[in-house]
Amino acid sequence: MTILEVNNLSVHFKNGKKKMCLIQNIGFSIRRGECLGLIGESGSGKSMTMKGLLGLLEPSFQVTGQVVLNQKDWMAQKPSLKREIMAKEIGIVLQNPMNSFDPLMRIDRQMKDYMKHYKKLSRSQMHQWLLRLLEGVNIKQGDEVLKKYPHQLSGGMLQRIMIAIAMALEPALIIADEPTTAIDTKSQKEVIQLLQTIKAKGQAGILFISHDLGVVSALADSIVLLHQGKVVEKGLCQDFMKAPASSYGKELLECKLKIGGENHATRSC
Amino acid sequence: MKKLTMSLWITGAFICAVVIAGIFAPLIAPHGPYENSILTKFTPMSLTYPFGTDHLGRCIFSRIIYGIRPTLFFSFLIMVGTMTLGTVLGLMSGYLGGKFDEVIMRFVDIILSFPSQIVVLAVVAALGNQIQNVIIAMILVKWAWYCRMIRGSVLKFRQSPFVIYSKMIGMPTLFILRKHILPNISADLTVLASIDMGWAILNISTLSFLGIGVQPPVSEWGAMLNEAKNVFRSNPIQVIFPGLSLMSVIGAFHYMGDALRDLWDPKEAL
Repeated sequence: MTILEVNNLSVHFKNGKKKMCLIQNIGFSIRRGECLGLIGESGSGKSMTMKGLLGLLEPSFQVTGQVVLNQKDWMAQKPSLKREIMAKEIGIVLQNPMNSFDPLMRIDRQMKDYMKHYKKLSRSQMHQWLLRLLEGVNIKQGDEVLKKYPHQLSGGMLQRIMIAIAMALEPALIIADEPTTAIDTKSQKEVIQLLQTIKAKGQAGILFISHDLGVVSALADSIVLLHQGKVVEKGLCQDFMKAPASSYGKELLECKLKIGGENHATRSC
Repeated sequence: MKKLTMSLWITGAFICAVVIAGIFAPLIAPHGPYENSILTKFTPMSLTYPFGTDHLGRCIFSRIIYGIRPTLFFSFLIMVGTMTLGTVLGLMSGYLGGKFDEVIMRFVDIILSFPSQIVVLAVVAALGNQIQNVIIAMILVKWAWYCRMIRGSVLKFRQSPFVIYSKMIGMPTLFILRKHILPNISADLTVLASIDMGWAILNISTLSFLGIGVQPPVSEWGAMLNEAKNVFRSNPIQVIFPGLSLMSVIGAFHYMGDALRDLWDPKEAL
């Protein structure tokens, strides 16, 4: 079943009479239990696409196109309804976990405040539920973690908490915007494994945005390659990793191979 | 837990003591504020008259204790008024941005371009010489300054990742303003509020000194200074105590603002 379908999504930036095209006619679709990798170099428009999609851009940006989320026309929804859909049907994981939590709020306060808007539970039930959520992302000492302030926890830990929040209301779609960029390799592996289990359960589709081709190949079923706001290549992830069809894709993969190759060479010396 | 700093204890205790003294003035003051007698005119400091008496033979100590009431109460009203107006408009203008922000900020520019003291005088001249007009006038000239300061603090947090994250997981705007932005700028707000309090006390007294606002014979520190000025040659000691009270209370509010900032801003305390 298709969760998210995007057709002809364009983003324009209006500055007085000038109109700049930032994203041009992007289209893709995600099914339940499927992971789509949105890849490209920095500044290619990956995050812009996501923000445009969710309607988070400032009014000076103009977003056009058709977005169907869970069989509903997303662009036509009222802002208040959009917010509710965003909370219930979309889970978000962002790239800088260290800054994504309010520094003055303890984790439990923060999670409870977020949850109680959309789930009515008594105090003790809420606490138990939060502990179960944290267990779901392999945080065993949930009681301790809940009492901490964000600056007392590591980036990997916070990233897992963010995944727990994203999964809490069992969304149909998870958007992960470079979730592995700001954390160390060990935490990266854990985050990838978590996303793999989520994918394996088959309840949610994942839109995975990254510039790290290694991470993408571990997770994504299909990819969309962006370059300067345009789709350069679309297809199965395996096919792309083996033999990219576009010249830009080839270039990108070669870069990766070259860097990998050099590393290999220095190690062998 | 957080440690209360020494300066917070001292200034806090001092301000509390002043407030309590103001509330229980009839119990603390040895004489009534208006009890006069030509026989006790210009009495030096003694046990019966701790700070001496003024040109009408009234006890200066009692008048200072009674003077806490109008001085602190009216300044508190002004502080609450300016801070509320400034915070609400500053939050909205900083967070919502766009046209709303533009309109509010240009309006603020207009108000800031007037010299505040003279506007207060003009408003009082137009509306009349009562204390409520002075309070309204002072709130109207001062909110703009706080509005701009608060907008600046809000802008710092508007695009911070945790606000964006909160927005992305579907939190309503009011929630973000109340739970994220307001607590994060509370340290700035406290400092502003205590400075504002000092400013308001000083201004109320300035205006009373000029004969606007609180009218004699009500004992208000500024008005007392005004009366003391008239007899400065014959009894110079009369200006000292109202002046000292003003100075110490305004100073205490400023120091308390600093101490509270250190206490409430965990980033600076670490």
